[in-house]
Amino acid sequence: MNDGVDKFCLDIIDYRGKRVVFLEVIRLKKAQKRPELRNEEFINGQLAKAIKYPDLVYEDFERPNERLVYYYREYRKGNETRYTKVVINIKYIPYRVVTAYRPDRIKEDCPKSKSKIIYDKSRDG
Amino acid sequence: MIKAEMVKKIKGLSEYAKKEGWVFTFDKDESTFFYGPRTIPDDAKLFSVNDEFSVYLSAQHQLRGVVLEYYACNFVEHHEEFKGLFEKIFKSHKDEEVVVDPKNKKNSDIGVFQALFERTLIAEAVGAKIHS
Repeated sequence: MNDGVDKFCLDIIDYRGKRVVFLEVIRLKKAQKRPELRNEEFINGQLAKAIKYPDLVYEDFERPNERLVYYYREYRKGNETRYTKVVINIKYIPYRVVTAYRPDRIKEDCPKSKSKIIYDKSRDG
Repeated sequence: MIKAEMVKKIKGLSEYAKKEGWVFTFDKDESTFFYGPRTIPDDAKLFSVNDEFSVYLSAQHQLRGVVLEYYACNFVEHHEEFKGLFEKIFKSHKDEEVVVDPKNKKNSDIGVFQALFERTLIAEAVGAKIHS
């Protein structure tokens, strides 16, 4: 952790060896609409795992040259699959977390918003 | 959750949103659109309804909000009728996050947008294949 505006709530190396930080100021801003971001256990647990050991990585549908989307499969219970999704801005060095949350499907794999897959652990890992 | 239960909840969205004082929030940075309380409660979990939108439900399956990812480049692109209103109400703002309260009676566009939005969500939910 460091002080001031650049205070990080997470500072980690991703699956490709790139440094990724999550600015505390961004976490606070996003936490109003993303309840998971109020939970320290989630940030140091699933969110960190999603960056370090993602199952899937896609280009962002809207900003493919600027952002990547990391998915970590948390569990599958009956028909429900739960993921941790982390959006990362790769224009900064170190990379920066834009937001994170826990969807039950992969939006980037939907027919209407198909994105390019960058990494698939089952294939590349 | 079975589809009938989800559709029933979404059909009751308008009344519930009014009672709970929900607001529209457009996060330009993420291109995500939220319709819900200013702060989504801690116990809320996301469930997708279709490719376009998801809902936040509480542990007791109470509706806690609606979320549309890739809103500007996906949802609005697929729903032409939103384009003009969306530009006027949200996109013209300079702020990265635009919060609009539907109770704001000064801007009649907001009421029109709200009615159209709620009607569209119900139609989408009725036509959706809900898996979970």
